[in-house]
Amino acid sequence: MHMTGLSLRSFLCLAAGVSLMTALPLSALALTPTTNAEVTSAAFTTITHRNDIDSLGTTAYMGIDECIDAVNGGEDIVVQFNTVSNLGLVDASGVVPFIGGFYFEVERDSATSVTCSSDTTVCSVLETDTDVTVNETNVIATVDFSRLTGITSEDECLSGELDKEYFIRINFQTDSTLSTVSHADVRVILDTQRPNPPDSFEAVLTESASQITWVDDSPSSDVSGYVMYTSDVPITGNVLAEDLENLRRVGIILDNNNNSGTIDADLIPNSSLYVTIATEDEAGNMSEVLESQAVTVLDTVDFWEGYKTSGGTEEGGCSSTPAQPFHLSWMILVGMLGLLPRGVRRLQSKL
Amino acid sequence: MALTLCATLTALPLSNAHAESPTYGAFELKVGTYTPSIDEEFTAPGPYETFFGTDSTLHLEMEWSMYFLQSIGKFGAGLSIGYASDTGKVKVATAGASSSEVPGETIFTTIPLRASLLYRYDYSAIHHNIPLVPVVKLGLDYVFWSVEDSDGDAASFRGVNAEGAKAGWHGALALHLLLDFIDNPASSYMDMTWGVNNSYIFVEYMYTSINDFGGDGFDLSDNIWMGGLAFEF
Repeated sequence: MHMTGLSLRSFLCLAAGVSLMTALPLSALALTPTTNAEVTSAAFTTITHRNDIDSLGTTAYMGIDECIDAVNGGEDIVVQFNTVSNLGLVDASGVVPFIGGFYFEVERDSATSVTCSSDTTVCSVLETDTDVTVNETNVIATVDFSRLTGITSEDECLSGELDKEYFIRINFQTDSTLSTVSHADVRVILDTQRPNPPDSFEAVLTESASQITWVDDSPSSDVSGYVMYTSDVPITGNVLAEDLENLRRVGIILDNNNNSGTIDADLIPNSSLYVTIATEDEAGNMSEVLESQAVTVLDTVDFWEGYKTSGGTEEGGCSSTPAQPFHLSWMILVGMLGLLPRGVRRLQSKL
Repeated sequence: MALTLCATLTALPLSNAHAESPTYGAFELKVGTYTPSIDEEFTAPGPYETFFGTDSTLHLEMEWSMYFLQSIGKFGAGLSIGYASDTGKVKVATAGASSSEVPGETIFTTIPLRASLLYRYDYSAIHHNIPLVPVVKLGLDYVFWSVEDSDGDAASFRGVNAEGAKAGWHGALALHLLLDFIDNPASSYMDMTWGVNNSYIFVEYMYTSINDFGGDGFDLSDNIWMGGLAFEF
């Protein structure tokens, strides 16, 4: 079958598009917070109980602990959308740009777009002048945590069943026909599901540099890192570290392959420790720990110690021989330095 | 083969289309491999080989020289500074334990300072169209050294810090290939714009004796092969 140039081009474009789509991770297609030419940035002015905020400032992560604190403390989440113009004033098109504020929830990594308006049931309305304030250069939206998420008790935070995204959005128009409605939003990711611990691990500890490797055949999709715990007594497995006493938490610096890492800790050579590991997700939730392993801190030898214990005669310090050549060499070297400025001047005169 | 190469090089056009500016000195940038003779104190394998293996490490050096006499060739003096660093894994001191997977590194670094007297025979390159310039150097060295432990700090053992310097001397033979014949206009442009009269590619063999003139301790001597670029200005 002969393919025309046009159909061949179309086929290649389709193939490239399909390849690109299948190569991209799901999260790259998921719903994400939006800013635009009118709303240049958005940020959480107040979100007291959150584990982390991403580098763009538009996504906040809340885990189990933050959920409990927010429910018990009556958390108010305040968002500031910075605007180019005053959305509350009539613009050149003869309209008041600001339409309203909204909030809604979606499942984690949802790719379904959401359109908010006052007559849809998907989004809840933020009342203007009470929940939303329009100023000259920004719009401030405030929503209570329980109202945003529907969570009213600590038990719901501990259920381990929540992994949702909550968007706080403002809508605005730029023409009188309402044909173009733009929006800007931020996102709160609430994750109360604990990640899975690794399947096994192995630790090699030395006095100044230590390495730990682990096997994790089915890691949770939101794993952000691993944490090592040490103790002077055996550590029971399948429990949360926070439920155990006398544990020392040691952060692991991940290697590129994500199944090994190094730790920076001063340990006593030839001492014995009990070591275990747990997984941490993006929201700061920790997995249960594994059964601990008894590890002896190895005493290591660097080149200098190896040289000296082998009988090396070097004592360090500057060349201390009183021999004439030493002093002569220093004199010549210092004298040579005097030639450098002369050489530079000559080069400059040539240029 | 050597005769053929020489004849070929002689046949290449070497004359400059412009009057060159005076030549005052040269700048060299060179790279080679280096292994100190620290293990000479011990029976094999010595501690240097144990920690850093038998492979040489990369050695970088740059040299600045000034001519004080130009007649048949050029006599001058030069000053150079170099750098070499070798990294190895720490070893386990615990009896029976394997060192194979122990994390942590130890690093041995040298920074040589050298002062040289040199002679460049470029008379044939200038007058006889032979673009090969042999160079002889002789001088004194002062080499700073240090050892780092796995913390990145200067290593120490029983109160003795692993850092110091050793004195010595060196002699070198080099063969420079004048590059002007490859692109004469570019060569002229470099002279007029940057003051670079001539540029060379070269190989150099350097014999070093860095042991405090027969003193105790580290012997940082080595026979170093280097290659690099040189610019006369």
